[in-house]
Amino acid sequence: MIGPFHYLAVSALLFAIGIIGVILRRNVVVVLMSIELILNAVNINLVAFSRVHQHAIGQTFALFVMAVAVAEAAVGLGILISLFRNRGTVLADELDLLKW
Amino acid sequence: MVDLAGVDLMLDPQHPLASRLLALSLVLPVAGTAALLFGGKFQRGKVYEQRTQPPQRWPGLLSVVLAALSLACSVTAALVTRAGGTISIDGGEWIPGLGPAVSLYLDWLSAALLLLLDVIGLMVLCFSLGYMKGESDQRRYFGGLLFFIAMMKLLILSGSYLLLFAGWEGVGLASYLLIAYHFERPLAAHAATKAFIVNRIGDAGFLLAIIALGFSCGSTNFTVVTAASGAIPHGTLVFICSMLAIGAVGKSAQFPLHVWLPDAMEGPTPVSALIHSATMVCAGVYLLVRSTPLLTLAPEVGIGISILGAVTALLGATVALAENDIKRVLAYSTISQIGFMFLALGIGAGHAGMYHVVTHAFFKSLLFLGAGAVIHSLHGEQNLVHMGGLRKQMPVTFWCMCIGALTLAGIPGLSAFFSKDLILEAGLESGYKFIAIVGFATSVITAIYAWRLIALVFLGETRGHHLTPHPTSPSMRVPLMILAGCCVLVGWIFVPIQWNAWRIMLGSLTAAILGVGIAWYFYVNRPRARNIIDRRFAPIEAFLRNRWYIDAVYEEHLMEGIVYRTAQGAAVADTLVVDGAVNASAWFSRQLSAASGSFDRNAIDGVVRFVSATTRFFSWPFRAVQTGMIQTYLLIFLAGALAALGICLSR
Repeated sequence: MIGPFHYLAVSALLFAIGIIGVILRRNVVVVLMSIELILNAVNINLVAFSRVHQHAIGQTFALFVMAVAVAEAAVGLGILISLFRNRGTVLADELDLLKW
Repeated sequence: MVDLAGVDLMLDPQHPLASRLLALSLVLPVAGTAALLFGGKFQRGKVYEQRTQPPQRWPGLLSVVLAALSLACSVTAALVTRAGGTISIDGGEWIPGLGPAVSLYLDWLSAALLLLLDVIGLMVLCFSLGYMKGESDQRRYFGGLLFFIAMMKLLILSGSYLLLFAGWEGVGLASYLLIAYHFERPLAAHAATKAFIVNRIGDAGFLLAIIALGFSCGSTNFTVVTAASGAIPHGTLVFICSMLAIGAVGKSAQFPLHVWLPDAMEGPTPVSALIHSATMVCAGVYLLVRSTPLLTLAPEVGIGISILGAVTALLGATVALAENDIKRVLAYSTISQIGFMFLALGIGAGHAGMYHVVTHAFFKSLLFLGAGAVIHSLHGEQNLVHMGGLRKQMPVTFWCMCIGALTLAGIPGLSAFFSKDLILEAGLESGYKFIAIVGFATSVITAIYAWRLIALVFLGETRGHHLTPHPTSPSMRVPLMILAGCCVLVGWIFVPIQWNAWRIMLGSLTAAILGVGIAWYFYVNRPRARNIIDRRFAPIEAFLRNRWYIDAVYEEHLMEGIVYRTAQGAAVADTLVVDGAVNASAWFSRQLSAASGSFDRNAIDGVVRFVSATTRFFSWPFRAVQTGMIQTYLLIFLAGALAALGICLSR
């Protein structure tokens, strides 16, 4: 029988994959995709606990997260395009303008 | 009372109309000068372009009209002095301590010179209408002449030595400007400079005399000086008189300061006629006649003046004998004749000298204008060698110049006979025999060169075949005729003939006829005989032709020796002292700025650098965290979050 633990395990796995992707990948596109993975891990958690507690608020919140994720993806990709136009690269390790 | 530029002029209460006319006759040429030189369209700094513009007629006509009006005023004003009356217009003090200096004064002496100046000025301006017809820069020429007339009038009319000095310098300036009328010719520019500089020597003397007068009399006014002259210590008086004499010698081109006058002939011929023969050069004589009250108290200066005059008279006459430039002959003649006047002045015959000034002015301006007509007709030819035989082509000029030359020679009946006679008479009476002897000798030589001039220009064969004379205009002929008439008449109007002095008259008559006869023999009858004489007396010929070597001595010893050496010394002083001071101050400021720069670089920049280095040193751990890599930040963030989680869980 598949219980909440399984969901949490999958969620933790996804979260870890997302974190690793954000920190290690150089391509900002992939970093953005990894952020989506992290959000999805959160969503799985929310839906799982909504099921455990028999309460609809978790699912509702997951839907909000998706909506925000879409907006975030749109804004993020916009910034990305602008970044590419200005700097000619999308590799994170070459974008070190925040220094000092 | 007329307020004129802050000076209150007190018109003479006895002759209100005459004093107004007198002032007007002074103001008219001033107004003309202003109109010609400063009025209308005036192109600044384009003199060269003006000289290429077509000639204008109005400046000359305006000047003639103004001169005629001025003459009318002068004549009316001068009528007052017929019976010994005087006009004085008194102004205020000019320089404190020098008395009422701004004043005009007219007596018989200044009236005579005033009329002389106005008549000859008018004649010369009329003559210039024809003579300067082709010149493009008419305004500068006629403006200069009017300026000269105005300044000469100031000189003549001034009632004090100080105002006289102002006019004196004014005529000097006018002379300089007009000699350099053709300033694009180096000779003319050089001659103008020479005239100006040589005159400086005399003017310095005059200025010293004025200062000494101011100290000893407290005023430079003629009447005050005359009244106070008896109280001046004799040494001071001798100094004042000597300095006045130096001033007169400079302005009147007497030995040893005569060298500027022949060179001044580079100016236009009418200018020479007016300024350098008739009026300005006689200013020295006028000055000394004005100073008669002083000179009679210092007879030793007087005899010095006489000796200078005698030397100059002889020098000028002999050099004129050998000179070949028509204008320079006349210039040396002028020097010689003014020498005559000085000779008279020194032995107390001021009236005779003054009389000779008047007669000389007429015949010499006539001769100069005639020479101008000749030069004009011959397209600028001035060398006597290339003239000759002009009698047929220019009859009017010939006869007028004949009258002028015979007057100069002292032929009886013509004006200069009387004046020269008076001078010779005074010379004999003075007891200084040599003065009379020099006078007679000069008279003979004068007659010779006067007739030599006529013979070489008008008589004999035409020697300059390439020259075709072009006719003179009426505006040039009429002044010649009027002046010739004056030459004849002036003598009879003014002089009481002393028939008891017939011996002297006979002597000067003999001198004149002898001189003209010699000239006639050598230059008309037997030109060949002259060549033999020239060969036999070659050293004398060379001596005369080189103007007694005075110019050469000045050039070599004075200019090369003293002036050049002085200039070299001054140059050395310049490099050592002046440049040294400049260099020292430059070195000092360089050292100062080097020190200041080093302080700037080391101390002030050091403080700044120390502050920044300290900041940089203490900030390195914080700066090191700032890599700018977003993923590094995220990693740190993750580590922090994990640590926080760990702390939360371990509770």
